Amino acid sequence: MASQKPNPILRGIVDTFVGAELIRLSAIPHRNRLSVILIDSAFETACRAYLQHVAQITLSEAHRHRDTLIKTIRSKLDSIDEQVWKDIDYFYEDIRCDFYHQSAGKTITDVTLLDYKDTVEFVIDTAFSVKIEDLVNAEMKNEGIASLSIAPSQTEQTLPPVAVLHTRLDKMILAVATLRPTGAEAVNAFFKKEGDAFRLKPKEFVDIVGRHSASKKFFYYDRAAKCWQLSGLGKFKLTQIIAELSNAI
Amino acid sequence: MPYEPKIREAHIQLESGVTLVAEVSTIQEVRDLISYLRHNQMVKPDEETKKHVNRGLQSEDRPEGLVELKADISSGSLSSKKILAFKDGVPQLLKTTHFGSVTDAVVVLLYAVEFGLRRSKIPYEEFKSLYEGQSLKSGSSLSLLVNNLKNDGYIDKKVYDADRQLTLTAKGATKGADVLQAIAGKSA
Repeated sequence: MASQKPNPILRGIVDTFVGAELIRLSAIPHRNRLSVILIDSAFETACRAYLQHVAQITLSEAHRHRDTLIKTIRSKLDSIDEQVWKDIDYFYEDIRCDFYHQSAGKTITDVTLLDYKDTVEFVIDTAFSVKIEDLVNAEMKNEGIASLSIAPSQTEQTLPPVAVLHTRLDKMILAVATLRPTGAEAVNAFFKKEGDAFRLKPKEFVDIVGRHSASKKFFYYDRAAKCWQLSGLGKFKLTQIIAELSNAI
Repeated sequence: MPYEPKIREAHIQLESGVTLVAEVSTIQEVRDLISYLRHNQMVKPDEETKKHVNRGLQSEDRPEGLVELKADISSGSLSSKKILAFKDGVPQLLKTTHFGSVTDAVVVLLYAVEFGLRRSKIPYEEFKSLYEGQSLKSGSSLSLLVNNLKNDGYIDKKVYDADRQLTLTAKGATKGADVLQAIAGKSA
């Protein structure tokens, strides 16, 4: 399996999100309150990292203040809608600061927390041209941390055995979801381990991922990690495969 | 003497979802009832009914056909106008520039899931994968777009707030059909 390592600039930010996820998935009664604080920390450090390393701005004393920092990053990421910044400001001023400095007894709902996390991830994805959620999931997987989330990218624990799948495409989707392979060799080793007779020649592997990486977009080649991955549509297709199998049982 | 079936009552499902129960005892009374309902515009005229029936049969439950039928747009127009396709069972917006806003595209995508794939609701994370695969350009996160749709009454607020699943309200389904009709043109 190709190991997906985040850009060194993002390493600490990814780990902060991993911490937020571990707390969010725990049984701690105030887990959402604690997660908000960590997600906000990830956001603020990501803003500094972006300005310093991507926009290449020399940060001054003034950038220690949140409002100056946000004002600067907003001017650099002008493709992001005003509403996104307002939403993050609202979470910072009305929720995070209250949670951090004042109200130990308050928390927020699961859905509100996930919406907030989604918006912060959107800003980071735009700033660094990454999918921070994928990096966090990969890190959790690399560290052997099982996620309890229902996200399609995290359904590995409920993946069906290869043998019950009938089409080459379905088998390939499963293999790519499980392995993030570099080529036919890794996929064939996976099928062999799973006790499935299906094998692919290198050309056939390229044909399948190639045919479904353009218009159909089930796969894409991750240049940073040097491996094949499922695209959004591929993940959706995987959930359909799983659903169809469970309906058939 | 010709065969005369015994008829007691007729159940008519109106488009509004209301089922009308009428007391009838002869075929002629059934005819009169249909004529009366047509006259009061409670059921569609003959030709339109035939067209729907024919289109329904032709579609053979293909997701594209189901969406076209529900949105009342011409059969085959989703493909010919490059609006929407179901490739390997996955909804794909073919030409994203058709949509006036990302919000419209999101509503149509949900419409495709709900009526094309016949799924009454979809978990947010699963929909997010589908949304991200469409290469739509947006300055907002999907969660904010969804919250806007929720506030506008297009997405069921209770279902979303309870378990973060997405389902269109009646208003949302009408909006989806309106967007599709605006692009494809209403069925002739």
